[in-house]
Amino acid sequence: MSSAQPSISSPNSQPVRQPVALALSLAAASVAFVLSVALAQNTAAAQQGHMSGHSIAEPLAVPITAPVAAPLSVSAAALPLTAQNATIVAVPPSITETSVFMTLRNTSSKPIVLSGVTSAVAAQGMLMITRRDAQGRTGMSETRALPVPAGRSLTLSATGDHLMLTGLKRPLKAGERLPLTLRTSDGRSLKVTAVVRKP
Amino acid sequence: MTDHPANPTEAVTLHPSGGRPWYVSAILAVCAITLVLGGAWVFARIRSPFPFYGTAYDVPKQAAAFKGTDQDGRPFAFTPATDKKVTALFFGFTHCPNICPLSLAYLDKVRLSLTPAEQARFQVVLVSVDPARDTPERLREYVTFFGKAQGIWMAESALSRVARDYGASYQKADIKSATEYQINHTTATYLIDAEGRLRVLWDYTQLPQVERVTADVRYVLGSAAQAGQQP
Repeated sequence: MSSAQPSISSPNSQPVRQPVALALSLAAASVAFVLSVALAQNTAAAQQGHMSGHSIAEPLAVPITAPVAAPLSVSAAALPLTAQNATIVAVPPSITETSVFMTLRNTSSKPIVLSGVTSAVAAQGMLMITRRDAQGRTGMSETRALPVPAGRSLTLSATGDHLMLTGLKRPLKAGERLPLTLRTSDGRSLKVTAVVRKP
Repeated sequence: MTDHPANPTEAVTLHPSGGRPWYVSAILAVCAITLVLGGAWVFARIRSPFPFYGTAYDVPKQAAAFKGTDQDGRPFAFTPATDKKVTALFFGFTHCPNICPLSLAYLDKVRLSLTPAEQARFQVVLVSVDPARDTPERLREYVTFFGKAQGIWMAESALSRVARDYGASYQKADIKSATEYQINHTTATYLIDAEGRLRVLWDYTQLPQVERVTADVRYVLGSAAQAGQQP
């Protein structure tokens, strides 16, 4: 890294008279050093096994904050919430649980808090979050509320928050379109048509 | 005292005539940064000649052998390096609604994007971390539904040893009854070359990048073939 320094001053035999330029160069060189260390880290050892995979995946996990207090007024108006690409994961016939993914967009200026999901084909629907513990183990756990921030989207996916259907009453066929009902903490609901797809 | 007035004049005279304009300094700084980054890149390539998408093992480590029962109920022995296959190995369970289907499905997409000759030298192995509820029959349904893979069942005592050998870990969670629970587990897929060495691992969140995972597999398939030709 020190070899970078001579290349700044050597082409010109004059002593550097611009402390600002020198300081800038030094700053740039240190940024470059940090970047190069980061680059080297990219190919660094996987000796800790899964722990290295852990750090890669971290930014993908959507952090869930404490449930936002539900608005007290129950409005009869339609929910300002849209669902896109709603997908139920196709599973083998003997498997009775599956996950549901979609992108929810809250078009209002107030947060919308999901409180549940139901489907005619499943005994139970759950809101799930994905968590990784200190040992790098990933697991899903049920949560009571999934907030969709005001004017923002919530992506329900295999790597983060999602919905789960348990106690499937019959095998689902890939390509099937099934209705789901999302409920919110203020007592409203949204009907969503989801497509059964193989991952 | 005499120095004092001399300095400003020197600065004034030097600057327009021989002083370095700011943009020259800027260009030199850019050159320096390029040198440093280029050096770092060369250094990284020397350490790992292939830019793996997954996390590469700096020093390839010998993968541990293990025995179990496969999805057809037959004895299965994983003996790295003897079958000359490249193996993508991960730990999972069939009640897993999310990570395991995703891992199987994307590893199968990787398998299918290989040539038939490469496919013959590549296998996907799922080791069940739920010996209490998983059975070979259930594993067969699972691994054939999401593609083509080996689903291996082994007793808890053997499983804990294998998991430790690979740095994998699993733990029951959300236990509602003896048959209703989830299992939290590490989500790495380990790629083992034809010489039986651990070369790279991917987290399950990386697997949807099928092309990049395939490139890693192709490199390991290729380098393994070269290593095989040398002796």
